[in-house]
Amino acid sequence: MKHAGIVKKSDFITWLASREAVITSERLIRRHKELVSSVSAMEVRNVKETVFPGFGTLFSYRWEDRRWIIEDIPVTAKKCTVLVHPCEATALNEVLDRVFMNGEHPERDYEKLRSSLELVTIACEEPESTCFCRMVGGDPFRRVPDTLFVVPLEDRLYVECEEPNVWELWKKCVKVPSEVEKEIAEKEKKSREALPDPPLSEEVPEQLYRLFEDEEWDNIAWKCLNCGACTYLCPTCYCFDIHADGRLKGYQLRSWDACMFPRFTLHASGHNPRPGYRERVRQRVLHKFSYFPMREEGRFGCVGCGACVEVCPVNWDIREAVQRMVKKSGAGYARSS
Amino acid sequence: MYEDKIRKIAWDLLEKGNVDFIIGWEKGSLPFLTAPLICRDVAETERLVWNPFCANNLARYLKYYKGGKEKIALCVKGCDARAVSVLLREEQIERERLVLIGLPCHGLINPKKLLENFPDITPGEVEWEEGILRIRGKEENIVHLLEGSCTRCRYPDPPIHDFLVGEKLGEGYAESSEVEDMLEYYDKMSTEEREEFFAREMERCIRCYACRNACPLCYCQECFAESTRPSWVSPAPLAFDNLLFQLGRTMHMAGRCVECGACGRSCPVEIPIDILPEKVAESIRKEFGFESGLDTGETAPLLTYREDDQEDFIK
Ligand code: SF4
Ligand code: SF4
Ligand code: SF4
Ligand code: SF4
Ligand code: SF4
Repeated sequence: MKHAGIVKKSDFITWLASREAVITSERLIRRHKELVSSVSAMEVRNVKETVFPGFGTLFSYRWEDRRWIIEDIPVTAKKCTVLVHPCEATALNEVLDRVFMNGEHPERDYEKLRSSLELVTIACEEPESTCFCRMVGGDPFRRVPDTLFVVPLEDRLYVECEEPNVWELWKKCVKVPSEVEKEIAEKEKKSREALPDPPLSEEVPEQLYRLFEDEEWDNIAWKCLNCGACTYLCPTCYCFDIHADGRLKGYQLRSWDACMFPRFTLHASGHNPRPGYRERVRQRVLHKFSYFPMREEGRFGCVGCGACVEVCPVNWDIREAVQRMVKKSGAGYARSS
Repeated sequence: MYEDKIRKIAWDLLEKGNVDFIIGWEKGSLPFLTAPLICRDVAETERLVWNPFCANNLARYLKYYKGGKEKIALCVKGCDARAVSVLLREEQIERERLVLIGLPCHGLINPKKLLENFPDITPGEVEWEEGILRIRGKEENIVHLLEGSCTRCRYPDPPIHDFLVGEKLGEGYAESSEVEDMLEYYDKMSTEEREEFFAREMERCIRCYACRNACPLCYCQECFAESTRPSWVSPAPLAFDNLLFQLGRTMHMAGRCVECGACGRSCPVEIPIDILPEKVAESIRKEFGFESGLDTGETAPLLTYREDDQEDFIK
């Protein structure tokens, strides 16, 4: 059930200031400084840092009296309110949660960090030239489940949620006047129209899979530098490496890793199943657009935030790669709604 | 127009079978960006562009073809050609396999600076024709919009080339430019300030290796930073290890770096990391009178060993 309300901007800011900690993403600050400037908000470049940091310690170890002593180091988590855009909220809710909290064995640290977050989704009125959330099932006005959905208006905010009881802010909300409802619908339409790429069809994952051996990958991959800029700044890339820091005494660390690095799949034998840029770039595309959705009920492993497009030093654009392969596969786009 | 000339050269080379492919730049998917392009077919040469946004150092792609037989035509700015010259000296590629399309370079425009100086500018409002920049119809001085490495440039003309498209420029901006860039700013810092500066910047580094991978001269099969036995640098992006990586990279660049700035431009978190190798290049120029990539046949100072070396630490 959807509940909608209107709240004064000042009340929203007061509510934010009353939260234990506030985190926002860089792109949100770029667009909505006014919402967070008076709160001491921590800024993250990439929303996944809140639940899956660049590096962390798993346990400590030392060799003492001829035996190993191992001490667990669980993460410490504190309650945080996270203000992000729909794509970023989707990355947490529908991609990373599926990876780290699905099934019987949730990842302990992730679960702890994740359950201490409350997400506020701020609608996007001005999609950027790198945005393509609609192509992968998203929307600039997407009501991401379990989050507080907010559309900033002149001096008020339009708010929507499923469970008003969990949001203290709700007490300050009043009924939505019909002209505001109309205004929201218009904004929504306008913003959606600013995103030219229509949603990919449901067949895309299967069809791309069939193109695994296609020669086109070579052309697509050629210019990529095989660095880690895109994957490290992608909110849905979740690969990591585990390594020991210290020989007889030290810490077991976990840090991000990337399928774009040659060593990522290097076997101890010296064999590398993904020896060249072709195989590595194909992995990045297919993981997000084929393997992940095939396994996860059609959910693409990419949320279309465009962070990778923005940071790539050679302008390797994942949209172009996917569109080229989709065209080849004949899968095409869903009928636009 | 220069672009047409480049396309014509590329077309002829492919058509006559003189090369297997052309490496150049094409229009990017975002405003004020280009992307590296490989043309294997004459029809693709239409996509080649040449403008102040051709930021990638294309010599970087030559490492793919080491030991191969392909004949390669490469578009080169001054610094790209210097990088090729270093690769030749280091026997990474054979001169006979290369056709260099030399492009005297007026400098690269930093897209961020462009947007700061001209808010809401669109690509259609920026015209570039044979060294003259027009923004919204008005002629503009490019100097204030340049990338840092370009304000320091001393060799805008490719020192080696087979074709030359455009007039030689002779001097770069190094002598004339009044614009203070990152390196000058760095020079003014005290030792403590520098330490603080790098501590702060290295805290932000995510160790994506974009800087290393964009560099035309980093071609090691196994980078010391990724070696596991022994492990010199932790794979975790800890500030200290990030610095260790950068210092290692800088030392490996000593006497080799061609000051193209590609490393700094690639950094996704905008660390001006090019100042490290470029500072060392400057020291080598001042101390040894040596400049990398000028095709002089001289060996690089840090790559030589002489029994009669006047410094005794070497013995
Ligand atoms: S796509 Fe771009 S950012 Fe990603 S690995 Fe390739 S060069 Fe780096
Ligand atoms: S692949 Fe690119 S667009 Fe997709 S989620 Fe990752 S960073 Fe965003
Ligand atoms: S991709 Fe862009 S428009 Fe879509 S939700 Fe993300 S920031 Fe908003
Ligand atoms: S490109 Fe930047 S973030 Fe990446 S390793 Fe180099 S300095 Fe660090
Ligand atoms: S170290 Fe940086 S400036 Fe020097 S050659 Fe490499 S990319 Fe160019």
